[in-house]
Amino acid sequence: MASLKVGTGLDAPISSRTESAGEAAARVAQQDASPGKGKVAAGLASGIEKVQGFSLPKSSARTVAEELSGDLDLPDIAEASFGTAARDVPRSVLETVHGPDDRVKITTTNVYPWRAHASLLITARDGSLWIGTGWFIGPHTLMTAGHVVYIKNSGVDGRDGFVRSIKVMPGRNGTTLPYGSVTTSNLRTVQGWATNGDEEHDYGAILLGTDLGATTGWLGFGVYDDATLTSLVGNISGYPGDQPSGTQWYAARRIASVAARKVYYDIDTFGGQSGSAVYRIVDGKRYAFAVHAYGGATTNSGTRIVTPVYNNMVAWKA
Amino acid sequence: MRPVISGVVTGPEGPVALARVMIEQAPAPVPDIAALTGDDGAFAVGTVGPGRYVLVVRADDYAPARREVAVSRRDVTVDVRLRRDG
Repeated sequence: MASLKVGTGLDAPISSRTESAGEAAARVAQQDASPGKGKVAAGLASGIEKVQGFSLPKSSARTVAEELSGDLDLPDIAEASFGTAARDVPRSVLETVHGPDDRVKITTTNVYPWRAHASLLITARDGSLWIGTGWFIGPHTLMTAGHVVYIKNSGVDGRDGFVRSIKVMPGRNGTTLPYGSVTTSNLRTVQGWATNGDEEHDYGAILLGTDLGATTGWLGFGVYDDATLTSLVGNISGYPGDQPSGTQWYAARRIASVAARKVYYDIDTFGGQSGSAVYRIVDGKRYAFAVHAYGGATTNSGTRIVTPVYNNMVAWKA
Repeated sequence: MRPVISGVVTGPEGPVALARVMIEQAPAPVPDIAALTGDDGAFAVGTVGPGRYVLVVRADDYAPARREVAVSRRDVTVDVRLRRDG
């Protein structure tokens, strides 16, 4: 296998600290998961988590006709207009919960994989507070959305830029913090997000000063081709703000479509779930393939883990 | 600059701190993040431009609130009053 280098150009990593991210080498295009220490939940053969009260919506069952046609749903047109002049913004109404709300509450948040997901309390540069979601990819590194670690185009004086700090609470369940909390200001994103505000580069990382991830465990991640991704069921667990404070919620549905650097799905989410892993389950192991970031008209979307993203993730977890 | 939706969340006893303010509907995809109100109940969230928005405000022990907001090219102020649950 060829060695891989950290991203360049719009994927050139930038840091809230002065030191550079450095160069990393990886021998595979898939990083393995680790369950950490303690109980582990078993995923189902159908690619979803085994959670009481959750079953895959029937609409997520791929039909033979669809399989044969190879047709893919097109991304919402609004995606193409995001970030353009206001007069170009379509008037379609967007929602992040599509049809019946399939989300189920996770109560066993001290069991893997749930403990690998963290509730985030974000303090922006202007002192404003926000909530988001992150997930461990290694002993001291969590992935999240770029807009969680670096606020861009907020329209509010003094807010934009790397956030002041993030409080990380793995496996949070309401007021219960089974693994305590760690607060850090050691953050990463890439030029494509920080400079251009490009949603295709909307990803970032949170680096802890401790190895808490060795206890919680972490998710694997990988780079997959279009055909593989569009045949998958995507799983998302995170901390939505429309539910009781600090509770973790899970849902899964089939992937709707993919673009070069985006993955689209109608897995139900809500504000606060930005940064969640979008992951698959293979042989009982979880591998992320996107970072959830946006709510859309008929599908929500995440930043696809492509090779430059993967290389940065490998560097950030080192 | 894109318009900003700002306001104050209050309850029967006054400002509600740490209420979660989220955009449920918007004219274009929006980051799936939630703002928390400050001690004074204040919030300010960015938009993706003019259009119709639906804000959802949730706070523990209060009934959820939804507000439809028409955003033009200027900043908009929306104050939200929450009722106690039950």
